[in-house]
Amino acid sequence: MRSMSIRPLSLRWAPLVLLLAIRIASAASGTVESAQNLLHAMSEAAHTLNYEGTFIYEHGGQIDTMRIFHRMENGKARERLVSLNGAAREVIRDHREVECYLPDEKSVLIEHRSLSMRSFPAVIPHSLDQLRQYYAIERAGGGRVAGHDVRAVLISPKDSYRYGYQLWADRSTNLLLKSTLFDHNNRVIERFMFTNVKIGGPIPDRALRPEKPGKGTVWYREASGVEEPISGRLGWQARQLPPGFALSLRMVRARRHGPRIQHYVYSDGLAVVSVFVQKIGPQPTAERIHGLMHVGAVHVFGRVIGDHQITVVGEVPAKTVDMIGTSFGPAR
Amino acid sequence: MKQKISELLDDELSTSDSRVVLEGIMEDRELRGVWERYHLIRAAMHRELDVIMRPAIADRIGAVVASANVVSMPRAMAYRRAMPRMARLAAGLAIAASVATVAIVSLQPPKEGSRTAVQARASAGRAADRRLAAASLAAGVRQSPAGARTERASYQDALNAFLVEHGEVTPPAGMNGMMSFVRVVGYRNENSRR
Repeated sequence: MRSMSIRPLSLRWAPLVLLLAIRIASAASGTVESAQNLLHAMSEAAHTLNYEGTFIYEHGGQIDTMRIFHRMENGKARERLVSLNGAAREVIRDHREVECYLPDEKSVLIEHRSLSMRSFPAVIPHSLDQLRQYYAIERAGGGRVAGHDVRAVLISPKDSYRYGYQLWADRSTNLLLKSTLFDHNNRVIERFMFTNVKIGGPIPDRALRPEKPGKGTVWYREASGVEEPISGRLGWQARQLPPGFALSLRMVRARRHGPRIQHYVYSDGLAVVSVFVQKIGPQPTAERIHGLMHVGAVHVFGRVIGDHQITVVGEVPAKTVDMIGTSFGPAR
Repeated sequence: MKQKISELLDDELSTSDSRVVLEGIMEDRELRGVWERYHLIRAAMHRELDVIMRPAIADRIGAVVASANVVSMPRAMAYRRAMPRMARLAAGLAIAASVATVAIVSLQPPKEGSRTAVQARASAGRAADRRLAAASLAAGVRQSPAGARTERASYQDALNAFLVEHGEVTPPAGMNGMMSFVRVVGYRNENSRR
């Protein structure tokens, strides 16, 4: 059984912390340092630039085209994402809430972004040396995307328990213009790429407003839950973890309506897997979450232990959620 | 190639063909222009032009498109315009009220064989069949602006909540942090596909 340690910082800041850590610790390798500098610059660009454009999202043999507007104002982002094919779905988000407009369902969904999660203490990624055991990070040349000269970074997994990334950034602004998520066999799982993009310049208010919902639209407002980190003896644990993964965080989610749920977070420093433990009552087997499913790159594994539902969720290969889910049980 | 782009817009190409066309678009300025024009035409047809441009220009283009001969449009677009849009989009779909629901309803069993794949199919089922009462699973309660409450409790809602909560602890990666929301918007009803 792999020993588990709690790392008390926030996953939300993991990319930035990771990039800073990589930047500081990688002076030994010029190529690696160059790649890591680019990653850092890409992260900064995403948090400081205004941009709007059309991009393609390719996943599971499907291709969707979307329009994005992104405006930074006083250090806070407001974004609008609109589907250009199929139903004209929209997502608008800022630091306070996420609004989802579903004209095909005559619904508007509003979910508050949790205050406690926004400032939640985060998890520091593993040390750079440890991370390098599981990923190779290198510069990957250049090219052109949506009419912009780009340079690329390749983050390759060294085993089949995690996915890799290839990222292409605009050479002059470092904004990410294309990315692919791929598995250990270099099969593309998801791909995003801009077909046109305007970087910089003002984004007017009206570009960030949704289409007026049609007549008969029903509004749903999700009550915000409460999350609190927990410490002390573990109630549950994974008895087997993929190499490099360790417990990063655990918390109890107390929803306004519904039972309290234990949330365990495992990470290798880049990839993140959540395990949810929820007490359930007697109910038909068909209404429980069993087995393996996926949406795009996200895999879900469900299992019932006694009167508890165990659900494993992660943007990782199926074997990773399967291993964690099948070995998960009450702590001994 | 223009015909292929039109078919790509209408999801009528195989995955391999789609990739070939996309690579062509990425590499050829003229094809990118075609791609953008077709989007403009589509947006005008769907009265969504102000999503992508300022009203004055949108109005002018809308007027031009309104007076254009439908036959001159890409074949697939004209065909789709003739179909009742809502009928295509709504067929067989039931969406629960959670942001991630739109993503979760496209949950699929793994394409490759898995010892749990059969169970997954049995549990996942079709979205329309998933409105199962499961009171002990996370019961979502939504409140409309008017104050009317709609209580819904389902296996589906529990999965939705887990996806959203997982997203909260996942570092933003890919597409400048919009990845999880791209999945939400990108959801489409399989029944609306050809």
